[in-house]
This record gives sequence, structure tokens and C-alpha cells, in this order.
Amino acid sequence: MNLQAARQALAAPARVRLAELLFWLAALAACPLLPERLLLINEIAIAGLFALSLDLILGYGGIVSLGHAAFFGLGAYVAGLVGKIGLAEPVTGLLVAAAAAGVLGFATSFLVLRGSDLTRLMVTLSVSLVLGELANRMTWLTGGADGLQGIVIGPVLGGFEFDMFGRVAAFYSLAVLFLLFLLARKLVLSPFGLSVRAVAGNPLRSAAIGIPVNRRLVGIYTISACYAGVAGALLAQTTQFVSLDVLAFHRSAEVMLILVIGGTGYLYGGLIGAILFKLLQDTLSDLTPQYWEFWLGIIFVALVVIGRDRVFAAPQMLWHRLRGQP
Amino acid sequence: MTAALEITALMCRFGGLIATNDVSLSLPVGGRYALIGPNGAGKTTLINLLTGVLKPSSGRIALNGVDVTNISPDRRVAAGLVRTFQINQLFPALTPLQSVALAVARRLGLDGGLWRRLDRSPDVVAQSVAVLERFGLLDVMDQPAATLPYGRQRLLEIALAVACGPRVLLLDEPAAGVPESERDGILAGLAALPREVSVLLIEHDMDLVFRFAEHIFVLAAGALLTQGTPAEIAADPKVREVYLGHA
Repeated sequence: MNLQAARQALAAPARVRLAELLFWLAALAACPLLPERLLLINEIAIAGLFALSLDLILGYGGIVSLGHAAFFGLGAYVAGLVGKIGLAEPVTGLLVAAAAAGVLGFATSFLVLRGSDLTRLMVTLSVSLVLGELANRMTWLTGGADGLQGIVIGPVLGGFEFDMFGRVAAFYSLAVLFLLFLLARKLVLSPFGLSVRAVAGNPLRSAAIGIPVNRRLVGIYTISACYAGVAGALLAQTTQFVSLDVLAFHRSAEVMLILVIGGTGYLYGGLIGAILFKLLQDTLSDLTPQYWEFWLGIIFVALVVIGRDRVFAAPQMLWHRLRGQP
Repeated sequence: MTAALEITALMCRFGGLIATNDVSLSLPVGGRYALIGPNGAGKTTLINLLTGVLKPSSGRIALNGVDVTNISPDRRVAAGLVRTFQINQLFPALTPLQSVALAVARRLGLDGGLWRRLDRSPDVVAQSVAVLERFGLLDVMDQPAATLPYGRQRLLEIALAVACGPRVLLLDEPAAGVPESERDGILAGLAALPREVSVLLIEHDMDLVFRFAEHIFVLAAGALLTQGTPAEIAADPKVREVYLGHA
């Protein structure tokens, strides 16, 4: 009796909700239903994946970062270079980019183990600034301020050539996002994921029940870096161009904004945030091509002042009702 | 026979202050012990030395004959030395079931797994339920720890340590802040611990100490003042002196 109840309670977070199915069905339907917005869909998928990667460290690991673009940018450059030297198959490029970003993530994770949130913000920001300056200086490799040009990307899995309308690009990015989302879901529900949440919630007690705190943080930081690298690689491959912008501070700030809009710690926050952010950006830049950033800023300030909870209270109620919870 | 916990000539200095002064004590396997002493006697420092939060200036700590003086806190737990905290240290967002299951999984070496969820492991589920049942937490096992009333949180604090399968359990004022009426729950949970577990209770509440312990160590000014059975300690004029001397 008790065993059964406990097993079910432990398994409950893993249950697939109706709202989740609807979300992904809508994502799948978006491509054929909105053929003129494929570029935007691609952009949303990439931003969503990037925000998902930040959610892994911020929402689950409790690590704040203002330099997540370091991994995004490295992934973009690596994927671009892989394309440039003739390894045109994009999935291979993604894997190489993920590995490169993972190595950087692993190496720099030791810098975020100690210290407060403030020192973590400074350290992550510094790493991304260093990387940005390196990319700027190493013009022979990165093209410097001119950007990395001459990237050749072959057909996806040898069969789907990238087209000028972005049809393959949007499907490709969405498919990668979906697969990596499933993997992230599996990860956060695993014992490893639970222990990462425990470490974020109380590192002192985590160590006192025998969890190797630092190893957990290094692990989640490295995985998150891989995810960000793949997001950057997707951008490089689908636009066939990489500029210094991929490492810029505003990318780190934007992804934080996107994640915070959608909410941390439930994996969908980054995706929902990316949809809202990019749609708003797109709509506003159509309305006022020169002042859209001003209005975007105003809206986010309003969001903060009014409070996200109140703004999203209605959709959240709907969400809970769909999930069958009171 | 090897002692469960053996402390030899342990010293800890903070600058000029000697917080732990040449403490040696031995806990045979399976006993119920208490460590008492007035405020500032160095009880908390001693716990921090034992669990690896602080490094001793000199001396040796051995667990079942194995030197653990220089190993990290989480590896001491794996070796069987587990503590509770005077101020609750819980995982606020996790439920009692998740918290306890994680501790059980850690003991079974499953906590780093990337694939198989804990609900798929019958051992983890069964042992978690057993611990929650012992501390009367089954009815709230699925509520976030942060939302539980204080008394229940206190029980979870101890349940988490017990779930680690300790061979030596250090209880740092387990009844702190718990009203008289709710103390029996804590004592009942502790009484049900297997006999081969050695328990060291660090406590201010003399009533609890004398109900629980078979052997008492008295710490004063960082050093071991005396030790003995509850009756011996109660009759010891030196103990009266350090507790009541200023009065």
C-alpha cells in the first residue's frame, strides 16, 4: 500500500501531461501552418534551446551566469569552422560543437564552484569577455570583425538540403530542440538531476548525506555548456555565417531575460520565454523599426513592476487545469 | 574490538584560541552516548571536526579503525559517519520522500545515475518508506519540505541522517525548538535504530540526555572534563561545578 503510493509519488513528476503534448504538437504544426515565418521559428527554436541550457544551471543547479554566450559562441564558431574545412554534414558539426563547448564548460566550471552569486556573475561574464576578445584578435581563424565566411553546410543526414526559405532549417532546429529537450527531461528526472536540485537547495546538507557537491555542479555545468554549444552551432549552420555577435554580452543578458520571462526550473520556461520574446521583438520591430528596443524595454519593465505571476496568472490557471491539478 | 569511532589527541586552534584541546574519546560499537557541556565548551567545533567541515590542527579521527582525518565530508558519510544539524538543514523544494530517497540512493550508489529513475528501484522505494514510517512522516511524504510544520521538519532532519545508513550517528541537539509534547516522536524514531549503530547525542536538555544515554562525555573549555554512566555524571561534583558553578 505505502510502497505503491511512494512509488507513484516518486514517479509523478515524470508523467507526461496533456499540456506538454499540446505544446509539442503546436510546435510541429507551426512549420507547415506558418510557411512565411520559418525564419522566425528557426530563431525561436535556437533561442529556446539556449535558454533551456541556461535553465539547467540556473533553474536546477542554482548557478547564475552572465556569460552563457561563451558556450553559445564557441559552438557557433566551431560548427562554422567544421563547415569551412569541408566536413559539411551538419549533425557531425553539432556533435563537434557540443564537445568543444563541453570541454570549455568543464574547464571553467571549477571557477563557479566557490563563491557567491555575485562572484559567479563576474566570473562567467569574464570568461565570455575573454573569449569575445580572442575571437576578435584571431582574425586568421575567425575572420575577426568581418565574421566567419565561406561556411558550407551539406544536406542534413545526407538527404535534406538547406533551402532559401528556411524550411529545412526550421525543421532541423526544431527536431534538435525536441530531441535535446527529451534528453534534458530525462536528465532532470534522473537520480543525478534530483541530486543536482538537492545541491542547489542546500549544499551543506547535500554533502552531509554524502552527495559529492562539486562533482554534481561540474557535471550539470558541463552538460549545460554542451547544450549552449549546440544552440550556437544551429545558428551558424542555419545562417551559414558567424559574427563576433555570438559571443557578445547582450546574448548572455538576452538569454537570461528569456529564461526569467518564462520561469526557471521546469524546462518549458526557456521555450515559452523564447516564443514570447521573439514574437514581441518581431512584432515591435515591424511596427517601429527604429524604436522597437525602447518598447521591448518598456514592456519588460512593466512585466517586472506588475509581476510575472500576475501577468501569467490566467494562462497558469489554464495550465494547471490541463495538468489536472487544483 | 575496534571502536566505531576513535578520537585521539584532537586539537583545533583558531589563532590563539584553543577550541578543542587534546580530546580523546572512544565510542564502542552500538552504544548510546551523549556529549554535554556548557555553552562555549566546544561541542559544535568537535562535530565540525568529526564531519570534516573543519580541519584539526593535530590529532586523529578513526572510523571502525580506518583513519578518516583527512577525507572530505561526503566520503566520511560513505564511510558511515552521519550527522544531523542543530538548525534544520533540509532541501526546501524537495518532498520528504524525494529527500529520503536521495539519501537512500546515495547509500546504494545510485545517486549519480543518469538513466534509471529512483521509482524504478524497489530497494530505494522500500527503504525510503521504512525510514519515513519510522519517523511518522508517511502522511506528508509528498509535500515540499518547506511547507511542513516545524516539528515535522525536525523529524525529517533526523530521518534524512538515518536514511544514510549510519554506523555512527551524531545528533546535534535533535530536540532543539521542539515542544515537550512532540519529543516522544523523535525519541521513538531513535529508539528504533538498529542496535549496531553507535549514536552520539549532543544536547543541552539534560532530561533527554539522561533518558537516552548509557554513557556520557562532559566537555568543558574545549577539553574532556570527565565521562561515565548517567548516575556517575549526575553525582560528579566537577560536572555540577561547570554547569552550576557560576550560580
